[in-house]
Amino acid sequence: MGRYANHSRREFLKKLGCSFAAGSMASLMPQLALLPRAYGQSAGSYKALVCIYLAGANDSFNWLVPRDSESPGSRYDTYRSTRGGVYSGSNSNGLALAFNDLLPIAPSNSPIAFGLHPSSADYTATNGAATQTHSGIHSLFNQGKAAFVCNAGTLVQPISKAEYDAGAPRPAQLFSHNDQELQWHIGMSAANNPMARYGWGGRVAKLTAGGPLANGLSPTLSVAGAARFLNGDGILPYQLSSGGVDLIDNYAATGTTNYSAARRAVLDDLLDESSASPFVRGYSAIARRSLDVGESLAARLDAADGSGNVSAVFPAGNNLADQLKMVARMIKVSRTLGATRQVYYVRMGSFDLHQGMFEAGGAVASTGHGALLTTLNQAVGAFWTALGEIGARADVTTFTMSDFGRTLTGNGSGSDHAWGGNLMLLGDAVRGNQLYGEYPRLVVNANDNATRDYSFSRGQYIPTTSVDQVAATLARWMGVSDSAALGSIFPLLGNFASNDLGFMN
Amino acid sequence: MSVLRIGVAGMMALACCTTTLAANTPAQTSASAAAYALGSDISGTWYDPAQNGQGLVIQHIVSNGRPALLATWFTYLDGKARWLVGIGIPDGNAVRIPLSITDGADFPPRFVPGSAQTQPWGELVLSFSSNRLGNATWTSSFTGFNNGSMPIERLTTPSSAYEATIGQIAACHSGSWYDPTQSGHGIFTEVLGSGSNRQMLAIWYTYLNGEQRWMTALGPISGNSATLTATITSGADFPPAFDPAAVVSQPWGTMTFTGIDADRANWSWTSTLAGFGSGTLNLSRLSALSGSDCGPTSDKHAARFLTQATFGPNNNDVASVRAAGYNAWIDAQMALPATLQRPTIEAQIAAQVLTDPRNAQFYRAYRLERWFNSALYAPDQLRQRVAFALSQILVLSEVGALDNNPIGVAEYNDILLRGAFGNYRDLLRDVTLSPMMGVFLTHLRNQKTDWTLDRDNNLVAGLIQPDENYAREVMQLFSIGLIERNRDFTPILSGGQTIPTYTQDLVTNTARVLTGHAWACSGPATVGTITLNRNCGTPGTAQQFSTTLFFSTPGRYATQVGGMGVVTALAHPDTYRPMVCYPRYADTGRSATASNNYAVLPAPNDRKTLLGGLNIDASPMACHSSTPAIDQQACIGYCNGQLNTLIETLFQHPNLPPMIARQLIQRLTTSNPSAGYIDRVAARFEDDGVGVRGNLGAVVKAILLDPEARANAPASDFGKLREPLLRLTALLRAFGVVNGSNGANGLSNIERGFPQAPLRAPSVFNFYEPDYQQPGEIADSGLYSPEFQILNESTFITMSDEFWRRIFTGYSTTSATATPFATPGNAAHLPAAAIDALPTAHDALVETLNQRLLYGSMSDSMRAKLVALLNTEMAAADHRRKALSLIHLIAISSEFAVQQ
Repeated sequence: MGRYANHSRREFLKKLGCSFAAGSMASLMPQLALLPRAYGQSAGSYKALVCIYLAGANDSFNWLVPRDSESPGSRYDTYRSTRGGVYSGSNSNGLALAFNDLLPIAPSNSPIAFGLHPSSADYTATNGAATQTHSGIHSLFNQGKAAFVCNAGTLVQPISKAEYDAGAPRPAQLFSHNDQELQWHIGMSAANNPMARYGWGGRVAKLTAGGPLANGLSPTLSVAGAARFLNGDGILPYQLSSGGVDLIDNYAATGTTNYSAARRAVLDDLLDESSASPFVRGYSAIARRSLDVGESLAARLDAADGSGNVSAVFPAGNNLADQLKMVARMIKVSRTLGATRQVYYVRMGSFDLHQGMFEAGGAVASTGHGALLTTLNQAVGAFWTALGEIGARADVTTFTMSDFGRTLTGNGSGSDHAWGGNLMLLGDAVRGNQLYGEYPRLVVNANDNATRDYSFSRGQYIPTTSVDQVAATLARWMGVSDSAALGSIFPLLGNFASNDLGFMN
Repeated sequence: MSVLRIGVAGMMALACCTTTLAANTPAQTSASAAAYALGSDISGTWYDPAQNGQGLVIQHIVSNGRPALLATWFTYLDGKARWLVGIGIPDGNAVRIPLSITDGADFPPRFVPGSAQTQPWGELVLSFSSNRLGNATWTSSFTGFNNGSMPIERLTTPSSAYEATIGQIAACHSGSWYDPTQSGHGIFTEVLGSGSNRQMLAIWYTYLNGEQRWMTALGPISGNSATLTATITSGADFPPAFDPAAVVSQPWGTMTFTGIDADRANWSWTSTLAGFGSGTLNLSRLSALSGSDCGPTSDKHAARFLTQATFGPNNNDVASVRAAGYNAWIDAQMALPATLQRPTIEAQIAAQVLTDPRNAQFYRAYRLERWFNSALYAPDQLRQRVAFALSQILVLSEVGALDNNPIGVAEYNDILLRGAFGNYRDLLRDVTLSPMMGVFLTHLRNQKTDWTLDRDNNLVAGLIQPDENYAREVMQLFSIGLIERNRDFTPILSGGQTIPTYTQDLVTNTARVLTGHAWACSGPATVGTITLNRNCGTPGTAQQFSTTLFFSTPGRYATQVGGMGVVTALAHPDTYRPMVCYPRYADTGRSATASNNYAVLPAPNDRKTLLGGLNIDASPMACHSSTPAIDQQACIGYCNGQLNTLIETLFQHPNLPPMIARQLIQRLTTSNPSAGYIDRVAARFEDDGVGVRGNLGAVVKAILLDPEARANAPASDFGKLREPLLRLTALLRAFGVVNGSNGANGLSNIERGFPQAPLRAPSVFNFYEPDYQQPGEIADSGLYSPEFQILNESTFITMSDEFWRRIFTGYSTTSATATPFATPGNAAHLPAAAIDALPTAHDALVETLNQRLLYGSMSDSMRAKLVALLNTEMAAADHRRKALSLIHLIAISSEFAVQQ
């Protein structure tokens, strides 16, 4: 298990058919790129990455779980036993999910069946009076739209347990939230240099988009605040809120109410002044961009004809859903602005479940860790619907990142910091219904060189796929195919067997 | 003991003062030479007692925003007076100073600027074992000079008292002076003594007929003038040919120094010797002694200081800082009682729940109201500001698990308020034992691993492992950080790589120490008129062996409203009192089973290994639910003891001083302190001057009084983007904000527009990280800019909108030409009287706003644009509209957003 699918001729044709349906045929028929935009298809000239950062370290071995059988010695049984048994009122120290709670999946490249956390189900979103049913990650996986990369994590080079104990190079500051998060954002630089200024998302944007659009809009955008991931050389991420682009109150450049136009003119002048202080200049730059780019974006996002909106119903009270809805609207608007390559960043927190993985008497999918995964599942499901509405499913690849996985054994009510974990990919361009990388055996103190199964005393698994490999595969899809360019973004990529995990079409 | 041959009368006077002062100069307490670091206590005149008649004037000053040592050697060559001058950068206890020698000019009024020829003379190396003893070693290949060395000791100590400069000569008139139209000669001054005994010592380095000359003068200070009796010497030679007996001393005449203000003085002289005559100079200060407190010499400097030390200056505070000076103002602030939060809101909530009980989250507004009241109005501003800074280092956030516990979060804030000027060791312990922190970072009810026997009588670890959350963050964020650092915060490198301060093993061991803590049980409590029940069972040490109590959560006042249950925020005070240890659940290095008599575990589980390899051995007695009463206290002692040991290892780690110094500096004065600034503050953390480590009061003083913070013309990269909350409070305080007529400030919903609210950071990593670098020019320059992490295209707008709402609270802008005001009931606002009192003339209005908000530093182009706006497009607006509109423009401007 965990190998890339063979490129059989039948597979190729099947994928060709899928590609054609999703409209990404430009690589085969260049003249499609000349179709006018009015057709609503970018004809392969637009691609975007959407990074969903799960902050606090997602307990992802409860997200994707072996579900072969309950017999003693089965993969599921091993998982259950290592995690202290299924959580229940009488086993409140246990962290495992019940076999029948897992939603079954049958990855086409896996000899055993797996299951997803029950939060991954289809659901109906409600927002005010509006409702809409969306596919959950479970359905999307079965439809071949979603995939997982297993036991991925920060690595400077492949490392076995023995090598680790002998002091072989490993990422700096393992188990530290902000340091590990930073490494996911910037990739694994050779010097483990926390001062490395650019994220791999920003670097990819620089190489594929080149720079800002004519109206000044950056190719990297965040709906979740500052993110190193998005910084590039000359690429300053544009930040907006999930509420959209606010226009500044009381400073409208036209109209005479309360002298606003006059005051706005003075404000614009003041922000153009020079200063000896780099902080003053930094503030002015942000303020100017906020006013200039913001106005041009707001005009499109809030256009009266609804061309800046999506009609998909996103669930109310779900902050991640709000962020992804804004991403969908921005993708829709950006394509009319001539954008060709974009990188988006959204974020969801609270995953640091040292306590509260489960809640006494609570339903698994709606309490503790399950509540978080439900929020994620519902946001992603609504986002998928919106992408379909705007015809962008083949152009947009969504993926998750998280600080690290969590210990398989608990501390009495939760799990602690670990290392390798599972991440999800979603998009028409993703070769879904498959697992990539190597799904570990889920035991403590694992040390098996044949299967590269290595873990420490609490089931902290040494990753077998590196951040760089995942990121490089996504970078390739975005158009960074030159190996020298890939090497400049990921200098340690050569330490690994493959720089293309094969999960993209 | 005359050194510079001042004349008998002068000698007596000098002997009187310097003898007294010599005894009062604080000697270095440390014995080892390496421990003395050059600082402002080095200033003074110095000589070799065996070579009486020549000496050095040494002045520790600030040059280009950095500390420097100005040294001038008054000596001789072939019978003629010579003076050599230079400036160097101190390094530890030594300084290398390249000296220059001059000639060619003449005595005023014949002095012609530019006529003096300057040549490099050689190098002087001064090293000091204390602030009283040192050594001078020189190398020179200049004609007639040579290499050599001599021991030196202090002769005079300039006064370091704070004295106002208005109407009198003050201690801070020590320094160097010159007439800017005659650059090339000048006067060193030292104010000696105090009270009616004060004297001024002056040494004038100058020329006569192309040759160098120097004169020494001394005399009493009376009011704003000092009349000095001057002496001139000659006849000796350069060491080692210097012979004290060869020095010829002549009376020269009198010189008079008359102070105008801190930086200007009049100088006049009358000489009885040929060639010198009489005359006057208009002196400007060339340098001041660092550490001397001239106080704010203008409102602007006072306001800048208050921007660093409070929630924003207002006119009253500016006046009091100018009257008292920085040092005394800080002392007075530290002596004020702390304005706390929890007692007030607890009482308010206890009253509220009787008439209108709500669910707990509703009462968050009480905590935020109280916080803003303290920020805006509390007299102990420095303490409030430092506690706010500490809340961003020892981060606890209401967001998440604590969002229904405003009383507890307020008590945590009070821990920081009470500890702001205390010892960091105590603060770290109080934070660790706070049950709010225990909830936030999940070490409340942290349990040890239960080791029991399996069927084959093997010891096996139970499923529970100690939660490692707090163990990690207390090291990474609250104390030593991730990599080994020098005292100046630069990383220590080994083979070019940084060195981690700890490994995962240490986290695990630390987590084992942080076990067994849970809420204390103190029995029923009455808050206001409400009694909250709490059953603690058998009193005494047995309580801390009770399983029930370990798992017992203090209750709250709850009731029914309209048939629905309401759980209010009025919690039993045990909710916020320090946690206590329940030894049954603490790691004692022993098994958890009676079957092997709770035996000591085999190594390494019998011990916990902390920083520096320090081991906490297993408890001598078993601590479990049946531990006899006679051993219970010892178990509790073991548990408390291991926590204290943990705190001590963190406290003593050499990383702690630079970590805390750098972060507090970033919160108060600048995002990019120099290594020297951090080092000086960290040194103060190591030793507050009387041998105490961790004295936060001393650290805060060192941060605010450091020459880099007090430099009147700071470097362009000094300073920081202001935090959103501090911009708001500064603006409101500048215009006399008052609460609404019902007493509320209505600021508890500030997150509507601001990405920052007190003790509501998104995570333990605060609102922004210390190492954040704004992409673009700031990051390219290698500068840190934490506050930029929450400034973006979106928050710029939302903050601007929020500022508008707050500035215009109570004012109506519906009409274009009138701005009626109605006092709001529940909102802080700028009173109409304060706005109406601002000047109506446009130039004067803009200048007043410049003084109140920008401390006088508004650029000319900004001023011109604002005045033009009032003159033209807004000419028809009324005064209030003009004033408030300008206040808002300035509030969101780049000049106000940055504090320098």
